[in-house]
Amino acid sequence: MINRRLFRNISFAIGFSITLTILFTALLSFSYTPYDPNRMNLSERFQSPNGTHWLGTDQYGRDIFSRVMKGSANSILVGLVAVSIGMSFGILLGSLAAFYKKWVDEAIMRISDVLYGFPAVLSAILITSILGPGVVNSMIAIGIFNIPIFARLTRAVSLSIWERDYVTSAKAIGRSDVGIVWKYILPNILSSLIVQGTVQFAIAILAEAGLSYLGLGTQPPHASWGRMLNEAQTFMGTSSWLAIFPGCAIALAVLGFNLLGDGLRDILDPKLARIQGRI
Amino acid sequence: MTAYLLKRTFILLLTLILVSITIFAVLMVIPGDPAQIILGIHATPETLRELRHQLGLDRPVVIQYLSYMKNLAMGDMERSIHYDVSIRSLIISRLQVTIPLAILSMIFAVFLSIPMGTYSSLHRNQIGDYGIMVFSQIGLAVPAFWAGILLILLFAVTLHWFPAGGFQPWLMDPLRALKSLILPAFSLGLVRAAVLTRMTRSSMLEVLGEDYIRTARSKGVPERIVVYKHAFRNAIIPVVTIIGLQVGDLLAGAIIIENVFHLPGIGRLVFEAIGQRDLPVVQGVVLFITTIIVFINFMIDIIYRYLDPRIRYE
Repeated sequence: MINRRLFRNISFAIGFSITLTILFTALLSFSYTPYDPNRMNLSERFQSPNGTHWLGTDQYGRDIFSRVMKGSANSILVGLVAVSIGMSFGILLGSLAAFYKKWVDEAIMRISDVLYGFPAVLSAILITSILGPGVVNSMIAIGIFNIPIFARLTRAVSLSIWERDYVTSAKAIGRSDVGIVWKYILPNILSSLIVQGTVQFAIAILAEAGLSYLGLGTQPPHASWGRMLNEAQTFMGTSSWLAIFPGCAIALAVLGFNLLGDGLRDILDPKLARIQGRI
Repeated sequence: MTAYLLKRTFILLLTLILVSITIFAVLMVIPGDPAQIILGIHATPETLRELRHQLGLDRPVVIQYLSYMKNLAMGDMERSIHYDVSIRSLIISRLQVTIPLAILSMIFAVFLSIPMGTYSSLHRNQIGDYGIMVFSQIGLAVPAFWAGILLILLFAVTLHWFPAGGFQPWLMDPLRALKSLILPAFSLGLVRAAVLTRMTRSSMLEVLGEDYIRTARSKGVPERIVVYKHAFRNAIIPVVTIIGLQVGDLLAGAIIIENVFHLPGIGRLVFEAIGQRDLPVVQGVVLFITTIIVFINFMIDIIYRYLDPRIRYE
């Protein structure tokens, strides 16, 4: 029943298909790419898209299609780790704020405001400048940026659930606070967290691409869509395809996750779904 | 209202202090000794010690922070290690690029999004609405820096209508300065336009479904007046809020865009300063950007509550 509802939603159906294709490409790239994505072949440099190299080759003769495939694994990995960092710390802090209220809530929310005040790219630049450039550090940087977003969401959604009758009953029969959070609070906020997680995944992909473009994310020779665009800019006057395909890959991935998030929100959040239906 | 204003002002000040402590603490742990950077790798330990003393780097961290804040409160933002000029003048000179860039991109975004969002809401579930929604989804998915690269490819490399990068100061050649900002502003504005189009559309649809709109229509008020006088005026309030909140994103987005187009704005300044280990500049610029963002958020909060009396003062 839910499956039919899921796929009747156009945003979900398109988003799910795109996301699944990218996930499949990312997984496949660990065992198969048409060419070694890092192998240089100077005799085949700057080849425009053709039957042998579907998306052409770059200034070192590396196959663009293989590098775009490998770049998908990089983006998915960054998104996964960054969202996991944001979710785990954010849920913990948001739950603490909603449970203890008073000064704990005030302190966590003020620190969250401060973190929230730093634009994602700026905080990521600051963090990677301390920890040094690299894919792991960019994951941490983007993950830290995600913490206040999940903390605020967890707090906002769980505050009302703590006031519900069934939570009061659970308290009355002597259930532990951790038990209540695990059994009653988390299942009720899960749908909001999944929707937000999908949106943050898309933002993480964009942020990683931006950091790699600036030279602070994935380091050469490893393939990253942002890094490929940075390298392409020098040669785009003569080899425009270098600047087109990695950008298409970023846009497609972000579009997929955004549509998936929109669709999930319609389906999982009945209140919002009603509003969306009206809208 | 006064109690609310006082509370918000207290929170604003507290947030600014926390922001300044965070930035200071973050930059303290960045590896690299500013004295070593200034004097180079051949400096003797004595000269290094002397310079650290001159720069006040041998003092306890708390004293360094308090002294930094005291100077800041008096309008003194220290000197750049790399450029050897006051950071305040450095920021002011770079703002001649970043502020017009931010304003231009917001103009692009507003002029694209408000008509499109309004049209879309008035032609819901028709081809035009679907087209605009597809545009906004694509706008959200395309990274601003890639949009910038594509615009360079089309309008600079192929058509030669605009320069591919660089900036001529306003006083030397105002027209060329403006031309250098068109493509970067458009790439930055595209994402903002996508967000604002969606916001305008949903806000208009919400207002168009209200009882007072139905009443106005049933009284026979012409549709044009219903839409523009009754609905649009109310629907625009949340959109204006989002426009304000986007200023922060614009400044942050400028960091990457200024690098794509080699524009000497504050975004490029902070990026270069990190590479040059010019910590006072990084401190100054990051503090400047975050203060603007925190202050704008504060102003929006106040204005929004003032404009919409339905919002309760907590």
